[in-house]
Amino acid sequence: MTDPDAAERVLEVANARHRYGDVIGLDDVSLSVRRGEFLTLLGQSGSGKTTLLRIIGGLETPTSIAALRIGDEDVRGVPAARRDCSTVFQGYALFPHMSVSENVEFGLRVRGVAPAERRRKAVSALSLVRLSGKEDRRIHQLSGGERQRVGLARALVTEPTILLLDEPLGALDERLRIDMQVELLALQKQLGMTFIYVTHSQEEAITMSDRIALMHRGRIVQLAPPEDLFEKPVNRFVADFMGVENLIDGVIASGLEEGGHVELDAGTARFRARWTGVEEPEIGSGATLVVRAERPVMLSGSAAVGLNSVPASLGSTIYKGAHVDQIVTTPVGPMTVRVLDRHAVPASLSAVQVPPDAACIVPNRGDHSS
Amino acid sequence: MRAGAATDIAWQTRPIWRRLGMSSGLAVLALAYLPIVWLMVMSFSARPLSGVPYPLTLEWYLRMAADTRWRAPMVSSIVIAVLVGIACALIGTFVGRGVMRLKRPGWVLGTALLPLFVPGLTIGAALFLFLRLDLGLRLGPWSVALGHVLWALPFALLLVVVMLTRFDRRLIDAARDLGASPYQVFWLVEWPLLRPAIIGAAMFGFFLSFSELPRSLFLRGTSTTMPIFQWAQASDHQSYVPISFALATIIVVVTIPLLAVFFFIAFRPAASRS
Repeated sequence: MTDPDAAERVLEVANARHRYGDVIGLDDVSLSVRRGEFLTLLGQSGSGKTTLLRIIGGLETPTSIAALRIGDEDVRGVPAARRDCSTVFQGYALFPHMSVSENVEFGLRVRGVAPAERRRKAVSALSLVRLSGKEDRRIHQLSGGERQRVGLARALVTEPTILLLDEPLGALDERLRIDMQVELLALQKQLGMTFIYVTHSQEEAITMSDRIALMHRGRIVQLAPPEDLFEKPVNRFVADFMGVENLIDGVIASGLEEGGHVELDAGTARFRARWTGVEEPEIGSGATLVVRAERPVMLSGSAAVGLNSVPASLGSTIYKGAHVDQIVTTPVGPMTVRVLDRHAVPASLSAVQVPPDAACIVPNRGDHSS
Repeated sequence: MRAGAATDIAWQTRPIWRRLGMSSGLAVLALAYLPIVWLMVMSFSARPLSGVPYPLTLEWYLRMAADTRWRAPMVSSIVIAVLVGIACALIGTFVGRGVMRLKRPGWVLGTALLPLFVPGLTIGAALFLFLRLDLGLRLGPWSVALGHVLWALPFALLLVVVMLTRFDRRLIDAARDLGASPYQVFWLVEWPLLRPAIIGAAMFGFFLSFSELPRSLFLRGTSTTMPIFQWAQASDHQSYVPISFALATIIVVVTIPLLAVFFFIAFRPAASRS
């Protein structure tokens, strides 16, 4: 991906490494974020996403790092208290002995802002997160969603350049989480603030992000806009993590052709599709065909079975509300084909075809960095 | 299984057990408080060692007021106890916070708490041997205070550590992240939340020191604390016993409101706006 150029760059991390004893927390991570961007660090627990966030915020000191800049300032060695960013913590971390307003005012209070002024700013920050009138509540009187908003207001009130959010919606129930996603996004656009957002939910990452940094075992596997993670995954791990439904393993059967296509031998079938791996494909090396469920075409009657098609028969049908997932059985394993309603499934299904430009082929290796 | 569980509950809620629990609790409370109340009553008795309150008199209080011998021990006991209380609060807080940041605090804590189980006379004798005979130091109030700190510190540490196990470390991260200096992190976040334990540690230090006898006996040098004085008077001079009753009464009457004030400070909700 193209990195933001220096003028609009608000955060730069270069070659960050971090170890916890023998465990590698971060393995040579570099990252560049532009002003006003919503960047998500996505990954399973232990992938290093929270460690990276804490290093940016100054709550953790990396084992080694070549550069760490917020705005124009080199913040290596600068304590958390003096960095131009604030964090919305997982589980909120609100001060239980303070009222809502006192929590929000905290950042201003430690900066020596006069009481009347900080109260005024707290009131306006609380109205921004739609908590007007709850200034004098105690924290234990608030619901989970309200606490989350207090945490947000507390981090916003000092107007940091970057807001770091560590799984902020993790503790909320499904419904509230979706509402808060929309609200957070609106707030970010309204303030034009840079958000760096940690989550393990790919659905949340896709909904909210300008770009996603998908992390695995302390590395950024791919850093790209959400649609690219689906359309141009760099390896099998990315496609799998993003929830692409059909992954068909095989070996590379041709060199890279004109137009970026390559052929995959999946044993009983051969496919031609776009190569989206970073390095040149090697004939005979393990690779995977990645096909989103929306893409295969179901054929009926005596359709020819050849390159990019496999004989198929109907399996179970899963009704998903907005669409229908039709499972088909093929020699290369079961595949999921998504259609808008069940009448689109031909009763006399004979084959499934994967158009070359509707799928991609990626290296089989799990976790190597791009 | 269900039936068994139900029977267990029925067994536990049977009236006889509830009554037994209630009455043994009351008996213990009575044993703790009645003798003190009785001692206070007898301090007004003309013949306190007879066991009969009547006739009432204020004679012992007047004698106590006229007597000057107990004043110096009282003053040194109070001064020592205050110092011990302050030391326990400070050391307990610093050490407790440090210990809880260790990966495995268990061993350190265990080692720190072990001296609780060594008899006071043994510790007193050992300290005497070490300070007086090995180091050749002149013992006095300072060594009594030292012995008391060693005695009360495990209690103080325990209090702070128990409070810290319930303390959410992310609050410290949050405070730092929001711009608080280490000093502000402590005073705005840690102190208000740990205050009950820190004040409790000081109180334990004060009261354990104020009534401590076995260590003081070895470490006193030529100075005298209140427990040493009262013990000596009670065992040597029967005539002093009534004054001792009056003194004990005064101590109880002064300490209980003091305790109430301390508890109020320790557990009141944190001050709202500063």
